[in-house]
Amino acid sequence: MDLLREAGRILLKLVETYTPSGEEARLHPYLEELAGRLGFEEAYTDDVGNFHMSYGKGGTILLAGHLDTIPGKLPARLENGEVHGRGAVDAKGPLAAFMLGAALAREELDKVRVSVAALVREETDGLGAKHLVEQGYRAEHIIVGEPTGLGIAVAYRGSLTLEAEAKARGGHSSAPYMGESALDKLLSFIQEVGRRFNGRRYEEPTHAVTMLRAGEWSGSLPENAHSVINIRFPNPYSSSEIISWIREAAERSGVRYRVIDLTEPVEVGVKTPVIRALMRAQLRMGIRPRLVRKTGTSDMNTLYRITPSITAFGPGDSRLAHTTMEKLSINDLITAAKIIAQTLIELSTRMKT
Amino acid sequence: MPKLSCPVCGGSLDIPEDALPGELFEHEECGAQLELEVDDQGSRRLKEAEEIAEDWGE
Repeated sequence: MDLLREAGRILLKLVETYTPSGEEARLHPYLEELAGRLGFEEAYTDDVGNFHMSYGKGGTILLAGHLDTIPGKLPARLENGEVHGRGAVDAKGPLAAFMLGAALAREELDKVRVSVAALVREETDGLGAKHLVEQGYRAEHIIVGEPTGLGIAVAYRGSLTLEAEAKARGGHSSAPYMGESALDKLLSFIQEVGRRFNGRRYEEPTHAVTMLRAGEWSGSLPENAHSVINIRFPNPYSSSEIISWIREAAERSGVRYRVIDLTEPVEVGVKTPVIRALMRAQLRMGIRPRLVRKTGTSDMNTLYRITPSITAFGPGDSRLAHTTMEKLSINDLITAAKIIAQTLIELSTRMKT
Repeated sequence: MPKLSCPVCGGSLDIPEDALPGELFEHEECGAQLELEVDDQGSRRLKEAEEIAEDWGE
């Protein structure tokens, strides 16, 4: 258990190296050194910059964390048993728990390959996870590293981002009834989207207008208007039915739209092998398992295409993610690492039979 | 696999013999989330589990 004494220092090192999306390589030298110290037998960087470390031979259990953070450097510090700084929660804490948990379980595993991946660009376009799917990566079970407060994620919503724009002939602001405003057209569309996707909880689709730009001059009706709208939707909604509704609403308002990002929702049952293994690991440690459904979207949505035995798990309060208050208690990190180790043992037993 | 009855709809579910007290199950027929309870005599029964929590984040 000497490894666990280093847990805080390992997380601090990960957090103090600033790695917003696209700049993950800054941490590769440290990960390479750490992989060697933790007993991983192989470490390499793939074509898009995902860092992989693995040991063992047999069916693969993939622990997929991400190395990037949202932009916004924060001072990193270790204080009163907590690591503060950008990424402590989302998601370098979960990644550290994966590396430590895999190292703890190594001696007890047989005929199984454990791979920890530090993926890139989870916070932007999910390139790292998409690359694994496109390359035909194979794994029997996957745990995605996200802050779930040690809860076991059984669902994430899907995400559809669209760009909508309107054009109009404009006119003088003193006689708007004689002119035509692109902004009015766009607002009519946005209001219709808002009425349709106005949820206030997980089960209901929601929308958020994240960008809005219009107007060329204070005394003229806008000739151009542009917006970006993000819609989140759970199972059983599908992107095709949402897009079909959007198409009709856009036609009614005279607006053009383009889908710029799409991730389908994911939902798995409690009898999914990896979820059962995580539950049993927690129960063996005297922890009551807690299932969670996440309102956001993560690499779990993408990696589900590799195996349906998938979940997301990790230490950290998700309410602190993407805030300036990110911090993680070392005790939670150590507990998560022990849960991961026990889960790997649980899974490997069942993979052999 | 031994069967236990669902406390919500009365239907039956297969529960693995090695299931641990506290393990969660879903009754696919009625959608109930259930938790395995084992008493001091080792007899097993299912009770309704807490609802799946909603958590922000991605």
